[in-house]
Amino acid sequence: MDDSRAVALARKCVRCGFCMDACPTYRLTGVETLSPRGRIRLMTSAMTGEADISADIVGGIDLCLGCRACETACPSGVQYGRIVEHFRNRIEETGARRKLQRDAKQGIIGAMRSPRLFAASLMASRALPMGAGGSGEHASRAPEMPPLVAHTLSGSDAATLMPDAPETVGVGSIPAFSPAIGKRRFRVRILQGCVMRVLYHQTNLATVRVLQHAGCDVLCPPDLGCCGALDFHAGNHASGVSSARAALRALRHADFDAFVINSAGCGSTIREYGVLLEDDPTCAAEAKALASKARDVSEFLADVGLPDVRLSFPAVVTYHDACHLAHGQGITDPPRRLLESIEGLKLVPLRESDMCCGSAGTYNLTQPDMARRLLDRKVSNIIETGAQVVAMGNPGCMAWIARGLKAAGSSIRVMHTIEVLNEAIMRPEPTG
Amino acid sequence: MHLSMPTPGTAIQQCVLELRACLGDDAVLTRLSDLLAYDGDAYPMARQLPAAVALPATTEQVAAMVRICAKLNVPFVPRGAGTGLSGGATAVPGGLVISLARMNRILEVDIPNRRVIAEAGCTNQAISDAVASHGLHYAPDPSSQGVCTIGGNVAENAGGPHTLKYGVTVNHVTGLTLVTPEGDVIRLGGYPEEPLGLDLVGVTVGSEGTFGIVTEAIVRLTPTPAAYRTLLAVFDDVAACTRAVVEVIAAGVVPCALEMIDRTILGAIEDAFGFGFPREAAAVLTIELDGPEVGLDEDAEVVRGVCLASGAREVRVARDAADRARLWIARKKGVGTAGRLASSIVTQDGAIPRSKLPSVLAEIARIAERHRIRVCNIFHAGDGNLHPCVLYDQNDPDEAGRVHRFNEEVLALCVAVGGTVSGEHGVGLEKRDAMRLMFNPDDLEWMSRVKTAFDPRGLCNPGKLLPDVGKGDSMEGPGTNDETQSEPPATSCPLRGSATSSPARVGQADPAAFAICGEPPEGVVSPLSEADCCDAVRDAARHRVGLVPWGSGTFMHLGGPVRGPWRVVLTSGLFQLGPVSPEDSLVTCEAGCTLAALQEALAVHRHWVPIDAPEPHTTTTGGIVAANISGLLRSSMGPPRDHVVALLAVTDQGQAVKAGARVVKNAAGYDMARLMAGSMGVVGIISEVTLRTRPLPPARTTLTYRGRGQSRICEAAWTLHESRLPFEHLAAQLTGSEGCISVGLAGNATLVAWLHEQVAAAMSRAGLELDHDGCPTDALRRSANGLDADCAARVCGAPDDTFRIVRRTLPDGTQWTWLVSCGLAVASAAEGSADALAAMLCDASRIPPGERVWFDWLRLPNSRWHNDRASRAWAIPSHGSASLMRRVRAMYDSQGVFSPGRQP
Repeated sequence: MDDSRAVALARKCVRCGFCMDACPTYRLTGVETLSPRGRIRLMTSAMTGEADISADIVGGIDLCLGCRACETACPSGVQYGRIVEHFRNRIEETGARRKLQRDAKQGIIGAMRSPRLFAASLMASRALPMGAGGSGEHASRAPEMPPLVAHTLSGSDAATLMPDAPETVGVGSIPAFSPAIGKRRFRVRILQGCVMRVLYHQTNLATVRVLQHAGCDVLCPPDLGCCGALDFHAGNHASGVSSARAALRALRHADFDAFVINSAGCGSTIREYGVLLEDDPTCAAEAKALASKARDVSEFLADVGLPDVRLSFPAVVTYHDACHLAHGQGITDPPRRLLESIEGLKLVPLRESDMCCGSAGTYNLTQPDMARRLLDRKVSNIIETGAQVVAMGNPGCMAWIARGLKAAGSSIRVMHTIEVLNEAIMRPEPTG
Repeated sequence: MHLSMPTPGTAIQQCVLELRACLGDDAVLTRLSDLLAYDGDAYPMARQLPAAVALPATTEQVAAMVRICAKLNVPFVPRGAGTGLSGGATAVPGGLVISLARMNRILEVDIPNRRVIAEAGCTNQAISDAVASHGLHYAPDPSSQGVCTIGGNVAENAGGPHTLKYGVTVNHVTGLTLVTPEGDVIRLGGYPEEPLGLDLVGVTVGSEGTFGIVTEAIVRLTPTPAAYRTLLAVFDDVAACTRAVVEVIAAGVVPCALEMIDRTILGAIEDAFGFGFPREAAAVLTIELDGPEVGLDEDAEVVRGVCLASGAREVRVARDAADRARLWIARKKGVGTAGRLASSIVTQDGAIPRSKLPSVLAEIARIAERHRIRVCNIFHAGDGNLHPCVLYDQNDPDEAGRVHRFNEEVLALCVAVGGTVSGEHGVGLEKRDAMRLMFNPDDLEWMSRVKTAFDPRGLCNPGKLLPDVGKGDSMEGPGTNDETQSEPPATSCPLRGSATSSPARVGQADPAAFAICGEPPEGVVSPLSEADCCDAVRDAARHRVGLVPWGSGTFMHLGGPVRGPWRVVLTSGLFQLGPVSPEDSLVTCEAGCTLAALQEALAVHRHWVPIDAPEPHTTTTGGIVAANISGLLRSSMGPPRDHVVALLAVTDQGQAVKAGARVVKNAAGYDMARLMAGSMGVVGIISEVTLRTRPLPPARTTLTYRGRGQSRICEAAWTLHESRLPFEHLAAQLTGSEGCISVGLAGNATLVAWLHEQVAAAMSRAGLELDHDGCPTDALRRSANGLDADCAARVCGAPDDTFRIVRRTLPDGTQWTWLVSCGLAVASAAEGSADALAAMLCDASRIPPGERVWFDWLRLPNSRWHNDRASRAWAIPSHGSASLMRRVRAMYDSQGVFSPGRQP
């Protein structure tokens, strides 16, 4: 995509302003420059030469979470996500950012993209002296990034809270083939995910088990790497495209009914492969085909159901809408339907459930102050529900919200929707 | 073009320095990258960068900022969410934008009183969300309600689809906190629905942010209907569709919304949401009915039948809440989906008499064709509020020019058929020049005085709403304009009544019969035309005598004695009935026409004006409006000022001027009709009024219950109020030992029968007995206006506050007449019990905290306790609106002729 195409996309904005209240940064600051309509104005003026790509403009765009809540709100169908991803790419190209900061950000993304490196750096980071850890009674529970690293990444002096991570991390691996339990109905390919397999291997295992119970043969050969989501969202279009191409190559000859994904960030990108790779004649058709097979696990399961299983999970549960599920993929209803189908489970509404928690890829590390404010808001909304469990469908949100709840001294459990289902699966009643 | 910062003058530089010192650095934006987002609102044809943007967090900060601006002569523009469609929030070169976005808290939720106090930056939706669990909501629902702020709604007098039944913003706002352009914080109105004195709340609503900065609003909540029927009528022909609009209203059903969407927009909506609407249809109507479940199906069937008879291909009914939600998403996000069709859209907002819809829509299509402009329609058909939505490219200067000409012609067309240039979006920058199509220079000068009273130095949102005075020689009134129209529109005439002057009769009536507080006038003038009124004013000014307009004299005890020599202007000679237009829900009459004559003329068409002032056979329409007199219908239908859409008046200069327009919905300029309503003749003399009418309900009955014990009656009446059933009236009369409750029921027969059962059951539980003869409504209307007692006073409060007052012990010889749902109660007593009444009222004024109730009039046997004891307790609240009121009054009565000494 070039500037003129991006400007054409931006011109679809009729400035009605319907997006503003959906935008977390506008809600928190009240500054229209930090709203989707304002950012479109900024990006358009920079791309048409009305204004320079100054540090001020970069600051305003950096504060965008990329949550795409504005797309859900927009009646004109402005593809804000595509415009901002293009513009972020332009920012990196023009060198408007300090090199050290850029390198640090790339380093983080590079590490997350490689499970081994990610696991190793997580373990190594535990040996480092952590920051002061906030203040007051929750001090010890809220580890912060060493100030020097934090400052390099964010360019600010704000303390950077570290997302939560399990005690032991490693590179998990799930079997290449797991057969359906009961009647075989589907053959599905799943994605292990770069972050998922390091932080939430248990969730991946749960995904396999639940899909098996739903009558799926689950395929997971080890040859599939990063889908490119991390890079696309950060504005690294070129490396995103090469990851996506590699993924397409790996899946070229595979045969499956659906490509089932349990990480909303990945799912959202894979479903956009068709558009992201439309300029590449060698794989545009393939990209489109794969995108059409991609399904979020909650959406897939809500469709095909778990006909032979009794589900029971006696608890009060609330549900947080991950941005890349609700706004990126328009999926809000299926996970709630799944949860409500569980015996004994009481689903209670969460205020501002579709407002970003502040995790947003690497946002919590690059914009620690805004991320922290959004997390605090999310956590108090969750606590207000009185639920015992908060379910969601994205690893970034899980690690971030878990950190926030721990810091607030709450014992509310953070679970992936699929984990709730996994724990809810009872053995079939013995017959006869 | 490469943008750069506007060259800051020294005043603005100094202003920014002082603002930073006052608000902190992060609340004052001056970098180009920050200002870009503030270079306009949702009106695409005007762009202006402000010199700075300030984001205050409290009313005190706003006041401090405004004082800085006033000191340095820096103009400022208030801004909510910037979703306005007429450019009202466009910055002024070198000026400051004051964004209220950070003032978005809800300060108070008062469920029993049905009030919310919200800061100006709070969104419309947030107010409804905050009270949804209590079954209440804030009724005006503009399409942008998820984003737009209550402050912006107040500025624009925002409407929305459901205003067809529930009214616009002004009908739901009871109080405002205003930072004046001098930086003073004043409170206008409060909890009560009835203002004290001139309706400054009513005229500030819709003033487009030119009177100062509204920082808080007190809004009235409406019970959420128990059930809905939402219909989608599909038409293959636009003309048939518009005919159906007229027919549905004529059928006597009052839908809560009646919206039209044409094929172009329907296609875009389908592209956006894929709801499965018939995209091949020429147009669809979304018609919604609401109320108790009972009786709704009958009304829906009536609507369905009318649509089919008018040529609808099919009528679908929403099956469930999700179905209904889809229809409303389609309607409310419809304009936005037009963004899929063009890079720029501009939405017009003229409103016309409903019956003109078929011809006007056809004419708009012809104008569009002539200018090669793409237009689609999605609008409030029931109100006649058009929203032709123009699809174009703002970056194409030729096309933008054609759009400009198209807009001008459409507005001229709306005015030519008797309509207005703005139904709800306001004038802003967009329609300033078009104001001249509606109003002549005298009208505009008269209108501009209220702005001068609020903002003498013109620093607050300058250059909006009013056209530049003296700009060229294009100031032409509708009179000259009419001649250029090929077809002189009949409906624009009544607002310019007979122009010929006939000799006014002076001194034929006996002055002694017109005494006020025992003092007779020096003479009586009996004008037979508006021109006579003008002469009377000029003559009075020449002779330095006061003038008191006099209808039937029923309510002259309100307002107090006249100062100095004075004459009566008797309006009984102005008794003509103007056009009766039930098809447009309008009726026009001269000021001296009696209420009964008006209702009789309407009854022929099965219509009525929902005003039930006492003594209808003598009370004049002008008097009812001037004194804002209501009867029992006050609680369900609102006061007369809610029904006045236009009037003709005579100014202090003896000029005849026009206010408003002959349409049911109008946002063009300051609402002068509202300023006149209830002004008791201190702003001008009303010579003609136009009122909104309604279809007569098919069935109607009044139930009267009697019982013993003041507290039992009180509790029973309150229970009925809290049942939230749609009573036509709910009134109670209380004496120490016994009392009665009167309940009015109206609607279709099924509904009325069901309501009857509900009321009977509730009253039987409360131990009250049905009594057909007790409490006749005529007597209740009289006592609700203090007519049959030697002394009386009216308490205005929110419902629960007034409830707490009336249920306290009543001294012997005193009585309450209580209009339960609107918080009005009249205490009355015989002369012998006057002191007991006064003591009770002094006590009552302290029951709710603060200044939440007031006593808006007194009827007294003598003026003694008016002047000392009571006036201290009942003085106009000290929150600063009194001096503003004096300023407004002085502005409209430079010669001191209008009811000198009397209070509105």
